[in-house]
Amino acid sequence: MPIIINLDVMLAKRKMQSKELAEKLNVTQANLSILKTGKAKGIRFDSLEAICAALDCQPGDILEYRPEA
Amino acid sequence: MKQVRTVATGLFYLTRIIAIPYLLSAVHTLIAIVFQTPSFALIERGRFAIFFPFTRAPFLLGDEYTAFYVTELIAFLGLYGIFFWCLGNIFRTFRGKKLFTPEGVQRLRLFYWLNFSVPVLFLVVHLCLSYEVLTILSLAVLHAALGVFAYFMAAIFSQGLNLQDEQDLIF
Repeated sequence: MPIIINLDVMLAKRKMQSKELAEKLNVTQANLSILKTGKAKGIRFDSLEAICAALDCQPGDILEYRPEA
Repeated sequence: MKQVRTVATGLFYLTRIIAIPYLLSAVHTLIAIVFQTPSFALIERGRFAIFFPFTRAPFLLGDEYTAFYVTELIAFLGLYGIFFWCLGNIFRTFRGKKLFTPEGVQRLRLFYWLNFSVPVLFLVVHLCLSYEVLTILSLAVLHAALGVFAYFMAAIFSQGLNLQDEQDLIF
């Protein structure tokens, strides 16, 4: 999929565990892993807002466009 | 959806309450006739009676003691037991927390397939052996109409399941 989720990178930068982020977002770790592993088909704006607020970052830090070869 | 679940629960138990006596009656009649148990008795003018178990109180009276009549009687009881059981399974689909499930789609598919095929098969066999077809034909048409309804419900539920699975993958 051309849209890459760089959540692991931001978590490492902020020295935060997935579990902590999941608790802040009020979702399960299984649900968060759908996003981390690239299985998600989309993301809601309010979810993106919550992630950016939790990680103190911009949407562009989480989402990257990489065209398919 | 809470009201739907409540209604579905009531209808589920109602159809089970109807299905179980039908199925038990079919099994009891089959055993009574095949093994000529005390629950079976021939009465005047070629008729027969099936009694409640361990009693002499009749609950089924047969017009003629012939293989065709007896087979149809047992088949009717058994098949309507299965029909109400499957109908109960449809209502069970509406009881669950999630409406669109693979099991729900399977139950609808089984229901429409049975409603299309079984009455038609029954009618064909009946036509070969009897000339009184109006009742069976009416029932076959009614069940076919029900089958059509269930067919479209299955298509809607299948689409709903696909959309739900996609929605589950939206964070």
